[in-house]
Amino acid sequence: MSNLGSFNNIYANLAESAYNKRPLNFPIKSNNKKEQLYDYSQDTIYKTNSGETSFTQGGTNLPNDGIVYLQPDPTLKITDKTMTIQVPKMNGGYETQTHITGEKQKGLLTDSEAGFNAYFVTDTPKLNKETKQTYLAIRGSDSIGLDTLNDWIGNDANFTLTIPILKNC
Amino acid sequence: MTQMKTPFDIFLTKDYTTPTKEEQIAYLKKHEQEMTDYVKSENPKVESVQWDWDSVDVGVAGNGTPQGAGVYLDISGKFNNIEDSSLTMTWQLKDEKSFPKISAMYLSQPLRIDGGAKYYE
Repeated sequence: MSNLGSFNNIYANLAESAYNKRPLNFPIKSNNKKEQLYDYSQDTIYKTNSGETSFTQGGTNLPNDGIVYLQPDPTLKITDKTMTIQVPKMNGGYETQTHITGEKQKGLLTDSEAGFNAYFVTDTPKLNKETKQTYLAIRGSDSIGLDTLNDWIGNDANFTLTIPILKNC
Repeated sequence: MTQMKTPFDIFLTKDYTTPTKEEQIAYLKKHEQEMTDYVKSENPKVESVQWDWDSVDVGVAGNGTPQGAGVYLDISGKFNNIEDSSLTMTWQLKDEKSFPKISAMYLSQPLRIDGGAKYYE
């Protein structure tokens, strides 16, 4: 696995942090109520399954000394995913049963059913006139699995197969 | 190999069993003191850790490729009974069928307080 060797490039830092289960990653569920501090000027440790230790070195010459704040998404709504089935009743007839099969998140920066996650990052705790830099980090595709098929098929394959110029590749 | 459930398991040539979340939690609970001691060694101001056992999560790290970048187990918690504190302990797993090697633990997130807006120094 290749993690960044250092946090010297703020864009690479944010791109890596947007993925799931990487050093200093952004939370997979974007449901923080408050801004989260990330300081890329500090070393971050990580280890392999056998215990071999590595570091991502703290970055130097970063904007705002590497300090950024992951902003909460106030538009985020977390609701249940439901499945409705018709079930025969004991004495004849049918009834409709609704079961909760999971959860879905939808907001400006998140659409769990479409496989979209983005993170809005600023260099001040709150977005105000002191803010100089803002960043939007969009998560790349996580590893393929039943829970990410919506992204791999709906987004990645769809893009590759429907862009006319790529059709001839 | 997870615990044998039937006497016929000795005939299994391939282990298809994956530890459940409950099994991973039970395994970590046995090592709770080592986990807490590690956090204390990383920050001497930590006196106690309140592990959120339900937060145990096993998943594949993302890197834009279909195969991903290794399987990891995370657990979150709070410390020093500070309500708005947070920390995350992580292990890389050999594969999704494995339990973590306890000594390979590390804090993949710094200790935070104030709902996450400050580092705990």
